[in-house]
Order: sequence, then C-alpha cells, then structure tokens
Amino acid sequence: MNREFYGKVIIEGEIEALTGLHIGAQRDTSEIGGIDNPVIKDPHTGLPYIPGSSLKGRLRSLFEIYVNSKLDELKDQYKGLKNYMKGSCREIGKENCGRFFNRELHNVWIHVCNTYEEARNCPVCRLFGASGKESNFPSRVIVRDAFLTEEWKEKWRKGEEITEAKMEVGIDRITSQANPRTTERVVAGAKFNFEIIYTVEDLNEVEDDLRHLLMSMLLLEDSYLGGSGSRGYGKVKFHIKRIAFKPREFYETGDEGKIKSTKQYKSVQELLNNINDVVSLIKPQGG
Amino acid sequence: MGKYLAIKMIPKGPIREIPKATTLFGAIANAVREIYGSDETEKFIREFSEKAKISSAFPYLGEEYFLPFPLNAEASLYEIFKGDISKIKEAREKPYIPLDAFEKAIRLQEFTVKDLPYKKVEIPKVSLDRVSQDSSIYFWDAVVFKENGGLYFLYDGPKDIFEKYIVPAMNFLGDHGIGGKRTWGYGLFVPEITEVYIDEPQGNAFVTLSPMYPRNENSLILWKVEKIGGWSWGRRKPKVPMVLEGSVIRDDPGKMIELDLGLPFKVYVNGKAFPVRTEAPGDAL
Ligand SMILES: [Zn+2]
Repeated sequence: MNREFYGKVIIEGEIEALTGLHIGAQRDTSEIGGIDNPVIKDPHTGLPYIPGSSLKGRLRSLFEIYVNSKLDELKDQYKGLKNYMKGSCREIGKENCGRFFNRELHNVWIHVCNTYEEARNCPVCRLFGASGKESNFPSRVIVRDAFLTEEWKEKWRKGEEITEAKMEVGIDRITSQANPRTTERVVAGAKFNFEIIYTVEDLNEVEDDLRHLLMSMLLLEDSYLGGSGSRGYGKVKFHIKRIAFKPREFYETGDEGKIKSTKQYKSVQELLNNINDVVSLIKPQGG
Repeated sequence: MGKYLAIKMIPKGPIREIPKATTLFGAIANAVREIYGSDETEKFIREFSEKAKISSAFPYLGEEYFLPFPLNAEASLYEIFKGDISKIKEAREKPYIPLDAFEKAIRLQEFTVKDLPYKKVEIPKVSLDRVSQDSSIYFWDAVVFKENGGLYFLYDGPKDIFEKYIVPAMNFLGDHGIGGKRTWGYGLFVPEITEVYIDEPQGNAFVTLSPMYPRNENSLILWKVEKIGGWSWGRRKPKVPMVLEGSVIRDDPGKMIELDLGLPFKVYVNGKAFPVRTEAPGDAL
C-alpha cells in the first residue's frame, strides 16, 4: 500500500467519428419494422453517446496487445511481466497458465495481473487497473462517458439526423442463407466531448504512464471503436482541447489558481511529441 | 425548522447506485486521507464522530429535493389516503418523495408523489478476446439522471469541519468518482453547496436519513434492516447490519463502527443517525 497522491491530470477534448460509429445497445431486440441493432443512447434524451467503459476497454485491449507483442523487450523494465509468456491461456483453458492473456472474462481472454505487487509493476495494470480476487489495484485512469458536443446537440435540435440505419446482409454460417438486418450507426462527422482523468501516484511513473495512455489513443485512431470495425465502422480521431494538472494543493484549498494547464494540441501525436510540457506541470524543475 | 447544509453532486454521467451515508462517509474519509494524510484523517474522524453527521444521498431535480419515504407514513398509508387504493399503490412504488410531500408524510397527512428524476438502466459492455477477437457482451446496472437532475446529501454539524474536510473531499471526489465502476467515469460530479430547510413537527420520534447502527435496540420503532458491506482500499469490508433510511427511531444518535481490515489504519463505518423529527403513529410507540 505505497500509493501516494500528487494530483490529477485531466485531458479534455473531442472525439470525432470519421466514419459511421456503432456502439450497440441491447441484448437482442428485434422490434418488428424497427432497427435490429440500435446504438446505445441516453435513456432520457435519446441522444447517442460513447460509454466510458467502451472507450477505456478499447484503449486497454489495444495496449495489452501491444505489450504482448513486445513482451520479451519489456520484461527488463517491468518486473511484473517476468512471470508471463506471450499468448493466451485460451488454448489451455486454465486461468493463469503463465501466458500474458491469463484471465477469462465472460468467455473471452484478457490480461489481468493477479496480485497488487504484480499489477504495480505491470505497465497495463498499473495504468488501467487490476481486480484480483481479494485485492485490487485501482485504475489510475478514469474514462468518462463522451456525450455529443453542444454543436451536435444543436444540429439534432434543428432536426438533423445524428444516426442512420444501414442495411447489411449477413450470411448464416450454417444454412448459407442471406439474413438482411439494419444496423444503426452514428453519422460520420459527429463529435463527442471526452474526458480522461489520470491520477498521479508516483512521480517516477508519470511520464511512462502518460506515454502509454497517449500511445493507446494513437493505437485506437489506427484501429476502430465499437462494432463492425472490419467493415470500416468506428474510425475516430481525438482532438485535444485542454490538459490541466490539478495538484493536491488545489483539492486542499479549493484555489483554482493552483490548477496548471498546457496549450492546445492539434493531435494526440503532437501532444506525445511534447509530453514534457505536461510532465513539467507535475514535476516542476528540480522536483 | 431544521436548516441543513446540502451538497449537490451535479452528475457528469451515470452512477452505479445511489450512495448511502455509509458509502459517502467512506469516500469522504478516503478523500481526506489522500489530500491531508493519515494523522489529519484520524482527527477528522474523531471530530466528525463527536459533532457532525451526514445523510445518505437522495435525488434532486432543479430546486426540488427528494427524501426517503418515512416508514411511519408507509405504515399509515391507508389512513393517510383514506382508503384510496390507487393513491396508496402509487405512493408505495416510490422510494423517494419530494420535500413538501415528506413534510406532510412525517405529519401523517396526505401527500402527492412525483416521478423520480432518474432511471435505473442496464449498460452494455463488450469484452473482446485479445487474440481471437471473439466478443462477449455483458451488462452493468447504472442510475442515469434527467437533465437538471442529480444527487445531494445533507450535512449537520460545525461549519469548520464542513469547510476544512467535507468541501475539499467533495472537490476531490468530483474528479475521482464515488461508488463502483469509477474507472468508467461512473460517479463523477461537480459539487455545489446550498441549503435545505425541513419543516419538522413537534413529534417525539425521529426518521433517520442515514443508515444507522443503534446504541440501544429499544430505540427502534419501525425499521428495516440491511447488511451493508463494500470495499475499502482494495479490501472487502465485513457486512454490518444497519437500520435503513426512513426507519423511525427514538432519540438515539447511532454510532461509528471501527473495523480492522489489516490496513495500516482503522476503517470506520458511519452508523450515525441523521434524525428528523416526526409524529409516530400512536400504536407503534
Ligand atoms: Zn498486468
């Protein structure tokens, strides 16, 4: 239990859907004459949004895949990784078989370190958290639900369509029968406000953690968010509007003057190139 | 007339469930520990135990504050609504009623219920196998608020405890989240301080607005009990039976419970009552 608290880094900006975006809503609703496969929406306003769980889950899974592929190189730096071999325990069917993807979660295999100490020394779990059976390593990263920007809410109020129905023909793998269904997706161009909060617990790990977080965001830009990514859905881009550091002293005094922020960055890549701007907010010279 | 400080938690998204005073106190104590360290936390807990109390969180919509359904009114629904079954049914379905209705209910007078400013929904989460890319969908419960809706809780105690500890803790918790699934942004909020007045009758009984651990079992008049557990600093807390909000009690402040979870510090469960005067039905006393 050697967690300290130095403050929180808050990354705010917009996520733009460059192609149609489908984050599904329900188990299996087939309303007659309706859309077979709707997108998730706020139950009060009916507006689509991106759940923080989807966004964070995607960032984590892409970073896990990256770490698995570089496992041998990374072992020297992160002693929590020493216990793992590349690959998935899926084939063996036993959790914790020694492979990197070691935990079964609802029939899929993911990576989760089992102990606090392992998680503390694993680049994935120390950033995104690990839930063990009796001890947890809470995530240093919070990813909030991303709601439509004011600009896009306004478009919606004026009657513009925010989602579209797309007809797709699936082929039943057994009967080879064509099975047309409509999938709803958020239209390309739609923008959502995102907010990612990183808790600073260890000054020596801040830069490394933030690099990993930004790298995961870049991996997502080169991949997809939501369903049907292989068919071109869910290409997204992050626009960074503000990065602020709220130090412990801010929470102590409530003095907003203690909050420090950087300039705007056009892209995640530009921010990553200037990561020292952020690190120097947290660790002032000589600190 | 009871005048209380109220802390509005203006939501930035859903919350896992509406937090009780036990969860709120645990979160506040943890926040105080993060901000000020252990010694100051011990001081806070000592002072809070002696002088202050907080209610559970309840919903609000704009300027309308909701409160839990008092059990004495539930026991007297038939008399309150003069046998009107549809009104009784409608009232019985609501765990929270607006402040003005609460003020009538604690006087055992007829009151009107309202729609609640939140919905409980199931939110899907998809897991993707990192190798095969197989996906699996599962669901989490969440409480989602209407626009202008959210949660608040009441504080009763010295202003210096409020300003030194509660306000910083709420600023911290707004960016940290409260309750489960914080890592997905659940339970994030913007705090706002305001005041709430409750017009209390001259009764000899009380409705508690927080779960309580009675000092004397004989102080219970009408009550519901639930075992309350949870997590603290990555450790599971043993479940403690508590008398729930809305229960009717005699004068009993309740108490803090001290737990040893093998951490370098003690964990405290807030079992202090948040009493509001009420008229108890004669035959219950
Ligand atoms: Zn790990």
